[in-house]
This record gives sequence, structure tokens and C-alpha cells, in this order.
Amino acid sequence: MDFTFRISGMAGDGVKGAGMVAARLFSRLGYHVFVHLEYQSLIRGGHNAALVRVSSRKVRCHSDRGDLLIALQDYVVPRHRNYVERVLYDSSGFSLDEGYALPMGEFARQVKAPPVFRNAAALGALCHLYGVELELLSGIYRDAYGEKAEKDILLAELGYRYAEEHFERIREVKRAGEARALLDGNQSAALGAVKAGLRCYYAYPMTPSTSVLHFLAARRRELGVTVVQPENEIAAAVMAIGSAFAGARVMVGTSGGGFALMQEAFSLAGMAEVPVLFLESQRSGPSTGMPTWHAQQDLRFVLHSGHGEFPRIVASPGDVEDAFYLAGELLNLAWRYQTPAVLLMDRYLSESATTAEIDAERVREEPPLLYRGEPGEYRRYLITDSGVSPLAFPPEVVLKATGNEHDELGFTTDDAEVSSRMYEKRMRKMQGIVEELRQRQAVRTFGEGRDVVFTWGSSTGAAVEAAEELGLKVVQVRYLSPFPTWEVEKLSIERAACVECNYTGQLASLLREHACIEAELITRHDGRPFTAGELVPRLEEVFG
Amino acid sequence: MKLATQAKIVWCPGCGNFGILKAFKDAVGELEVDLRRLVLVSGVGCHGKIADYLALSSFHTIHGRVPAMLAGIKLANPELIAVGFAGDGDAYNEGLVHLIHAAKKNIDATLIVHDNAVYGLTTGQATATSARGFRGRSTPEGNPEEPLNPVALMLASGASFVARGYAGDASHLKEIIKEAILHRGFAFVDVLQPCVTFNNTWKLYREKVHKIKDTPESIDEAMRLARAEDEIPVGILYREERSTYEEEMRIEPRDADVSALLERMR
Repeated sequence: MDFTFRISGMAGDGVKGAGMVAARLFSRLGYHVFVHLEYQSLIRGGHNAALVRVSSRKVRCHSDRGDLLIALQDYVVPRHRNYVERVLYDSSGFSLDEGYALPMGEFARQVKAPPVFRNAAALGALCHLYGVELELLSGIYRDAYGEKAEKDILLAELGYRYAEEHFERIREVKRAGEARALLDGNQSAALGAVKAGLRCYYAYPMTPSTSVLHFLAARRRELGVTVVQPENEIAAAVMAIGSAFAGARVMVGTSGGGFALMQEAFSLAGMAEVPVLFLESQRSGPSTGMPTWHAQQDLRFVLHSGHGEFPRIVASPGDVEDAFYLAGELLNLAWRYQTPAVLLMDRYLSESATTAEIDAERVREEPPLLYRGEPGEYRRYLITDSGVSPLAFPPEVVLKATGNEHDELGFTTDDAEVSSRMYEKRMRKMQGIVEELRQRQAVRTFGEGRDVVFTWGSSTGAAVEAAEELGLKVVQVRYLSPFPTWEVEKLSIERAACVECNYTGQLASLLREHACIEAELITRHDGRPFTAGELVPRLEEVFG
Repeated sequence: MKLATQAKIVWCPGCGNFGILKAFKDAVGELEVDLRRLVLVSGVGCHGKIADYLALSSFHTIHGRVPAMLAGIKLANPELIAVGFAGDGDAYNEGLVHLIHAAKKNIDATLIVHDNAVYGLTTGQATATSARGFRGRSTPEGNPEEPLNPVALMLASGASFVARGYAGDASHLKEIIKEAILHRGFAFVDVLQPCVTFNNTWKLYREKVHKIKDTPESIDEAMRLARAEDEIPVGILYREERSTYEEEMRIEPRDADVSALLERMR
């Protein structure tokens, strides 16, 4: 079983919330679910949509084709009509020549609820159309809204009864197994970092990273995380460096434009050897671009960000589960190597909720190298073979950190010999990171064969589904700095393609640079993520 | 614990920074605090070198961002005593937004601004506090801007402790710094400091600086003193008690049960 339905209306119609409630109906029935959201940068009006795909197999991306559109406004119908078989619409608001006419607005008036509630009637009708027990929907409302769920439940019942009388059932969806967890990439990354000991999260709001801020702020006491929205991104990054200097594990969240503002601080973290994890969720640029749309345009930017040279660890998760593990891994690695790390997310991964099986116990807070000597003899930047100096914090020691070049004690220097040795000490950490990544999963492979589809980030989902259909191998490059040349070079490749959401093929250029691999580009830069359905013909062009 | 370090002091002879360094050393010497709890942050400029001259924990950070780093340190460990040093170009030009928000938030930290009304380390350009008509190397025909009044700005921004000191009177400045460090909340000290090389204001300050006896009771009176022009009042111009940002925002770390939270997301 694999089907999709869509809910669409204007901003303010509760489209996202309705989509998530509807998705949870099926995740609780044991199905795999993927929710893709489309929205615009406005508060009221415009066009919002939630596409919910339900399947008995693991789903890695959304699908354009669907059973049904639930239309809350008339003007959204033409946008979706060609992709769905039928339309369920609010007949109190407008009329169509076809489809299921459900007087949602009138039901809302009957129960004295504002119009935004009318999608609950639609979800009641949806339960009938898919043969789902109404009680399951009421339970989801109760879990989400507690005592305030009363009107949603009443409306759902009115919608359900009306649909029972007037509409033909589309399909029977029976329970497929135990309830599955449903969460998006931002939530997953946040929890992975928490599992690795996150103590502080600082972020200035910026789509598509903002929901990390909301998610952690709402659960800050339960999770033991200090959550602050400071005056701007520069403050967020510098505060983070201050907190890590004082001994707290910290993450900063932003998108490309915000990360651009953090460049000087990013470089400071490299020079002062302060572990900070940056979560950068890409959106469509350049500049303000299309703020609510997807892109993978910042890979080169992040790899080269910050002035000067210093070790950095950059990794990009391919799905919601991967986001959890990588966030935890990167926070640990940042502390082990005392250098900044970037979790490079993207809009599609950040904001698409999917069913996920996460083994939280796979991530733990791994202790960094700590100083055990006499407090009076502490040298923050002790030169070692590994380049890693033992850590200690005030008030236990006098700790001198600086963005200036410095000696072992942290005093400013411009001595040629001292500065040269200190520069080399910092850069030597890169070797340790490479050795460490050789033990970890630097790439993920799916399928077999010598026709290889390279990809990264959330494009992995559509690439894997399309490649399964065509019998191709997919390689998701998880770690992007240091680049896992050792993994890529051992692949046996006949023909290669590279799937990514940008214009120039940034991963493809890294494959050429590090491993002399020429991959055919399959890119897009229209703010839309790939679907498997779109990728199949494009991959066929490459691989014949 | 001795405060001097191995670092050779490289400020110009006669620089106002010496007065600030002496006042600070004397202040922490007299305040019976655990010096290991003191954490200094300095910005970029001549003043920033002060981190090298004090045998205390310190972070010599990037230009303009001292208040943000103080906030990060205090949110991570409120037991630390955070003292920032910034220059006027640092605090009033490059990073003004952080200064205003640190005051507004009431971060429990002290900020001492070495206000010499000129960029010294970059050899003499006008800053936000340079006088109108100041001839710097980037304003050869004179600075066309009116100077910012940082003390008035901090009063308007909600700083809970606002003082103006003078680098030429280290013992008076020491008393201000002691009170600033003891203050619970954001303590702002603008220190009038001549730059002997690029903006030598010793004569002006000797004539005009005037010590106030008591801290005014009202913010209106503080504002009147802040804006006085005939003479330059120095001393603690304003103080009030209110909750600090860390008290409001800091969450005590705990071992979170992430598995249980994931279970609830089913």
C-alpha cells in the first residue's frame, strides 16, 4: 500500500497542523509516513499545502501523485488538481463541479468554532474515506490539545458522519503494526545533540532552522537545555563560544544568511579551539532568495567558511534518523577535537516529518580529553602530537583563550617560530579526525552495482527510491569535511551521476577534486526537492 | 595570587590604559573575591591587550562582541565573575547592538569601556565618541558627526548600573570598579581615557572632570548628569536592583530522558 493525500488552503487555515494530525493517524496504525510541507513567507493568505504519503514500506520522500486533495480554499484547487484523483472541499465556502462537497464552514459555525477549526471536519471525513476509526482521530486531538480538543473532536465527528452518508470510501486502511514515532529532521537533530550532552542552544529565528528553537524552548526544563534567542546571529555564535569556553556543550542554529553573519565567530572558534556545533539548514538563495523553499546551495560555502585555515568537521544527514545520530556524533567530535563542526541540514530534511526508528542509546556524551595535572601548571594550548590539548575550565584553572595567535599559555604572539608551531598543532587535528572518521560511517551506501548515484543531504531519499527501481547503487556522502576520499576511492564505478539541489553540482565538484570522479549532474534549483518519480527518467537518461 | 604576567606591556607611555589597569588590579585586590572565579573578556584594540597583562582567566575575543561573550559565559556558569573590557570603537561602533541588549537583558557582568574617542591601534580614525570636528586620518577635514553619549545611551537602554570614570584618577576609578563588580546585574563603566598619540585629551579632562558625591536617586537626575556639558561628572550615576538574565533564562543541566521523549512522539 502506498498512497498520498494533500491538504491545501491559505496560511492561517491550519494546513500544517491538519497535515500532521492526519499523518499521525497512519503512523499510529503502524504505517510509514512522509509529510512534505509547502508554504510561503507570509502569515495570512497565499498558498499552503501538506502532502502526506502513507506506505507499508519505508518512505524516503514525498510523492506528487495522490488519491485526494482536501481543499480549504477554491483558488488552491487548480494548483493540485492534475496530481490527485479527487477533491474533498469546503462547500460552505465555495462550490466545484465535482468532488466531495463537505460543509466544513457550516459545521464549524454549528459548534461555535472559528473557521480555522473546519479542517477537523475534513479529517473526520478523511477517516471515513480511508476506513479509519474515528476514535483514533479523537485520541490524537486529545493527546495534542488536552481539554481544548473538544471542538476538534465534535467537528471530526460531524465530518465523519456526513461522509459516511454521502461519500464512497476510497480504500480500507487496516492496522499494519505498532505505532511509529513521527518527527522532522530539526526535532531529530535537536534530540541527538541533547543525547550527546547539549547544555545550551542559541539561535536567531531563520527559516528553516527556526523550529529547532521552538522545539527546544518548549522542552527546555525537561531536557535541561538553556535556550536563548539573542539580538542577532553574531551574538548567538559569540555567546556559544563563551559558553563552550566555560565548559558547556552548545549548539547554534541558523540558515545560510545567518551563518554568513557568523563567519568571524566561526573563525574565532577555529583559532581559539572552542568546540561549537553549528546547525545550518539550507534554504533557497542567494541572499533572501525564496525563504521557505528548499536548496542544497551552501556546501562549498560551509566548507570554506571563516577566514584563515583551521580544522572543521562538516557532515550532512540523509534522513531524519541520520540527523539524530549525526548531530550527536558531531557534538562529540567537536569536543574531542576542540574545533567547530557544522551539521549541514536542508529545508526538506528539517521540516519534513517522517516515521523514524531511532535507537537513542546509540548516542552518548563522549568525554573529551581532560586535564589532570596541577591547576597552576595548566597550558591551554599545550603542543601535542595529536594537536589536541587537554581541556580544563575556570574556576579550576586559569584559562587564557584568544583569537590572536598565541603561545601554549594563551598569550598573544607574533613570533615566527611559535606561531608556526601553533598553526601546525591546530592543523594536525585534521589527521586525527580523518582516522576517527575511518572508524565511523563516513558514507552510506544503498544497493549494489557499478552504476553509482552520488548524493548528499535530503536528496538521498528520492535518490534511493529511484535507484531501487532502476537497480542502481546510491552513495550518500555523510561527512564532507574531511572528505572521505578513502571511502569513495574504494568504490568500483562504471558510470556515475550526482543528485543535488543546486546549479553548479557542488558535491560533484568535490568528487572530481578529491577522487577524480566525473559524475553526470542531476540538479535543480527551483526551491523544490526531488521526488523519486521525477528522478527515475533523469537517471535513465544517464544510465540508459 | 599575583596579577602581573610575563607579558611585556606595549601601550604608549602616558596611555590612559595604565590607569585603568591599575584601578582594576587594585579593585580586585581589595575585593575579597576568589580570583579563580574571575573571567575577563577583552575586545580588539589597544585595550584588548589587557587580557595578556592579568594572570586571570580571559578570552581575548573579536571586535565588538565582548558583551555577547560575557552573556555566554554567565549562561554556562553563573558562578563565574565576568568582567569585560572593550574600547569605544569596539563597544560603540562595531558591536553597539550587543551593548544595548546586554544592558536591556541585565546580564550579570561588568563592562569597562576604555573610551579614548579614537581608533588607536589602526592609527587614529574617528569613533562614535569622537568630538565633532575631530581631524582623524579618515576625516581630514574634521568629523561631521555629533559624538554619541554612551552613559545616556546606557541609562536609556536599561542598564542597572551606570558609571563614568576617569583614567587619570585611578583611586576613584578603583572604587567605581569595585562597586561595579559587586553589583548584581549589568554594570557599565565608561572610562574617559586620553590617547596620547592620536587624541590627547589629558588637558581637557583635567579641567572638566568633576567627581559627584552621591549617586542620584532618580534616573532623570542621572540623565541630567550624563548630559551635562560644562563639566563632566564622574562617579556612579545610576544603580537599581532587578533580576538578572541568567536567573530568568538559565536552565539547570540534567540528564534528559531522550528515549522517553521519542516514545511520546509515537
